[in-house]
Amino acid sequence: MSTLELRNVTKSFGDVVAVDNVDLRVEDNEFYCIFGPPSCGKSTILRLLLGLASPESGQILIDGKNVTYLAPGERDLAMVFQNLALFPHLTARENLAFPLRERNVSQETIDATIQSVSEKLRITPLLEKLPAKLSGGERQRVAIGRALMRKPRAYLMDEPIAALDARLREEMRVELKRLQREVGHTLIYVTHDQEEAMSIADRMAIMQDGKIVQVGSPYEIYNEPISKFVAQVVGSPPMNFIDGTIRSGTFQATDFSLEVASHANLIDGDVTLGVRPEDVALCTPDSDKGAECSIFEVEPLGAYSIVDVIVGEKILKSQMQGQPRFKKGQRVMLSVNAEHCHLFDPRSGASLLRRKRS
Amino acid sequence: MSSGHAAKTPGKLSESLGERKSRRIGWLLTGPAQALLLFIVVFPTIVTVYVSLTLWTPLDGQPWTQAYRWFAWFDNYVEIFHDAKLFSALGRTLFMVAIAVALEFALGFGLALLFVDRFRFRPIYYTLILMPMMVVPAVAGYMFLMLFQSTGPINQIISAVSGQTFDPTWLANERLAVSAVITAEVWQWTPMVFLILLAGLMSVPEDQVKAARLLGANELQILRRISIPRIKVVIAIALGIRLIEGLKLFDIMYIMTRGGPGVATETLSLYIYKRTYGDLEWAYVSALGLTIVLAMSLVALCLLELAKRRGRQRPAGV
Amino acid sequence: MASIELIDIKKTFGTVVAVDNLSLEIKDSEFVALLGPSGCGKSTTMNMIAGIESPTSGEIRFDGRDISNLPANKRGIGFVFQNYAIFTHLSVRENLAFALRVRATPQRDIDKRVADIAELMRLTNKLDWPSSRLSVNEMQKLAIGRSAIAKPAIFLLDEPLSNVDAAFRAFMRTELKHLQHTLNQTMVYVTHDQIEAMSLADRIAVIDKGVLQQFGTPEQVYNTPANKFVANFMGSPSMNLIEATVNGEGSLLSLHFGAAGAIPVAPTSILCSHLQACRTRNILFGVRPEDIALSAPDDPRPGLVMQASFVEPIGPRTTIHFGGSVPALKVITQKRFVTELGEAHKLLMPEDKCHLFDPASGKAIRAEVAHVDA
Repeated sequence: MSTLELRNVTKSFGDVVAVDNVDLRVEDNEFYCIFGPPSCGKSTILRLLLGLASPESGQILIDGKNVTYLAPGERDLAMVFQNLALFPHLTARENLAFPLRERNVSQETIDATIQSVSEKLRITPLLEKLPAKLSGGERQRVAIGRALMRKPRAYLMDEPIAALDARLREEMRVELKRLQREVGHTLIYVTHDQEEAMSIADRMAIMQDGKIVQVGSPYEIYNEPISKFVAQVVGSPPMNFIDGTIRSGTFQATDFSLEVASHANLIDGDVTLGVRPEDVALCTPDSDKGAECSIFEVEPLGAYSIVDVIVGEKILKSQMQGQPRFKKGQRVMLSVNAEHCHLFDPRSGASLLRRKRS
Repeated sequence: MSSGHAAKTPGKLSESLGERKSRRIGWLLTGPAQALLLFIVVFPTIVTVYVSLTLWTPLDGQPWTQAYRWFAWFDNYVEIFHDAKLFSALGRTLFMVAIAVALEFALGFGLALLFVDRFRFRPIYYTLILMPMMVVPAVAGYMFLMLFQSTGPINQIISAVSGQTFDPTWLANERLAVSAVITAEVWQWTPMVFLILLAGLMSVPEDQVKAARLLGANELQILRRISIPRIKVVIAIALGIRLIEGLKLFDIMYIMTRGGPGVATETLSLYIYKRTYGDLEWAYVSALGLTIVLAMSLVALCLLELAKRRGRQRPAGV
Repeated sequence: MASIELIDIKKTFGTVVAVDNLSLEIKDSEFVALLGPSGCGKSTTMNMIAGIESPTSGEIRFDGRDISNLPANKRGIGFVFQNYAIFTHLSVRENLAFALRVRATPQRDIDKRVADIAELMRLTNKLDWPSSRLSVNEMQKLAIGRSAIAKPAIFLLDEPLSNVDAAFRAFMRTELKHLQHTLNQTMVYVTHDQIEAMSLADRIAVIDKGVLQQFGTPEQVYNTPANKFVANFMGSPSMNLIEATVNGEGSLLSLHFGAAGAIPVAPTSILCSHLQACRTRNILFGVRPEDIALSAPDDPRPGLVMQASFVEPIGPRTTIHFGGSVPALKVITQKRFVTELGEAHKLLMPEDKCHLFDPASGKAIRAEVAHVDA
């Protein structure tokens, strides 16, 4: 039950600046995700919070109290690592009991806590088993349970489910979110999987080269990315980008043009147009709207399909509902709703749209 | 140890309180060991350097502390380069070591290849092969002394098989004595080469061997293109250890032949031994010892540097 | 170009049966995915095709010829390992050239083919780098290029995309498919990721516990799953599977979902004929999250009224979880659909999109007319 804060924190390893002047504030009871490509500094932030590394400059605060120089044991945070680190020679029950035994808690309290935690995680029938006898998902639950045994100020998780199968990951993230809501704790969650981050976070921070570039709810991040980088790393398949120019309210590129007049305050010049695959609509050639293009590849994925189309010399991705019956090489019309487009500065990558923040 | 610690923290300013505290504890913990090191390494070295710069011998009837009375600058070191007996001993040593090490590698590598794959009774054979290494070198020397006696088992067996009396007087014949000594040496040290090379071969990732096989390589090609290049460093280390150990060759010769017949098997160590206890020229021996240590260190350094450079080749033009 | 035939392949490790009487016929220049959860025997199956492991019993044929006893280096197979198994002591160029060198190819040919494959894999400017300095993405391309250079008739890939980042994965998926069209090889791809299998493969073999569950095109496997396992494994989020009881007689049937309510079944619908094929009253009812439509609670059409309990926005679409514990249903909606937690909706399930399974055996229940044998 607490807030976590980093103020102007910088940490470098040799010549590499891992965390670059980062400001971050996690509110009480918040599920906060830090998302970024590999080695962008997200794990270093966790290490700094935990006290496993000390910053060159800046402050770390827990509940408003400066803990920058406190040893890890004095910070009262719990951590779940990616490689679980369950004790292989202890049963699930003994693994759960471990953090309390360390602190000389009475046996009755331990038993009661184990019962409530294992019920929450639905691992009661597994308590007497050794980790080797558990499946990946079950082991993950026990590891999380072990973190839940204590009531620390906050939980930190570093890609806790990255090693699981796709299907298990999907179930575990719902489980985690449900648990966080039930237990009501501050949780910082580091991941490189954008879908995971979006589906569980209350708020998420996007990191790039040691800097936090955008913080917001998953909706905000997805719908109002402040730079091309954010637009690129969030969303799968990734956003389509087309380089072109704006002339009197119209976007012009080779083989493609689009009215973007609805976006006010646009200055003529070079821009990069960004459009999400699900906002690219394809229809039969008799419709007169949009640009003509041909089907390059269709990937049916069940609930939806990804269709690659060739527009001029570029391949754009379109995501459609269901399983459309397109053939390779078929001519279709491509249309894009200008309302759902993004415009970026081709040099800095900054978004040129200033939409109202909700 | 302390330099490794400093490398992790960029600049003193960034050191936190905790890190400074742990550094002090580090000094405390390693203190006794460092004092001991000082006593057993640094002190004897200083004494050796000191004595080597004089012409003192224990026959002078003065303790070594008084050696400065016979101070002679670098006379002993100059003498080394005029010592013909030394160079012939060195030549003999190198010759024997070269043959022994070559044999040890051939046998050791062959055995290691056999032992990479699992087979029945592998642990038993494995233990048997390693046994000679556990034997004290002096005992190994004694064993082979017995084997090569005129009435020893080797002659007896050959006589029994051929039906004629066979006694080439192994240890009295110059050439045969050398081969007998080399045989003992190879017997004792092949296991170590085997062990190091096996560890190297086992460390070659199985995936890489599989990948090479699926790309169409046969076993010989896998060995030549994957296994051997990958364990180059291990081979270099094994070679280095064996060469240095080989130059120190002593026990087996001392027991089997005492360097004889004549000086046919007199190695560098045996020669130094004779100068120390036969002639009591301790100052000269000190100078010689230091020179050899220096020379060997240089050789070892070159080998290590070579291995290191192979480990981190940079791309051309990047 | 070669076809692959597995006939009653069985592989046991001690007492563990890894692959159990598996038969599979992969056609010439087909792209087949072996799909299943970890430990299902898919990798063992592939290792047996490659010759890294030999089957305990059964026969493997390439182009109709039994090759069960042919050693791995004679099978002429391209194999991409999960961790790539790059020869890190060699340069990128030498990695690519490896398969040609061991075949004693003249240097001129090697140079030319290495240049060609490097071009195809976009590694030309890194040819003289030590391979250990490549990024994970580049190693992957190198691993594929290294196998492709010898023009193998059969190409096996063992989860090659599991270590790369999401953006590169999407790129590589398209690339791999393109490569297969270009090289026209028979490709077998092992994965636990159903999206990868759906997007790449011509046909998918779903394997669980060493047993082949279903073999068919992505559409067949997705739209007409043969059993509960396949239904649950294909699709993300997975198919909703809830217990239901069938009430009524003849063609006047209704489905009861415990506390969540009941739905009458239209007598002429395909669902009704499926239900008539049921032998038990208790069934497992399946419907995909994207097939459920949401409507106002007072919509007169038949459906279940439930409350939203959890919302997962994942960008292009949102998954909304309905109901508390049992039954719970997931529904996929468009990204601009907004709902509050606790808000009630009517869940409409189109009758031609419903699946029925036998709760005991897990087998799909379908009326004969609709039965599509994969």
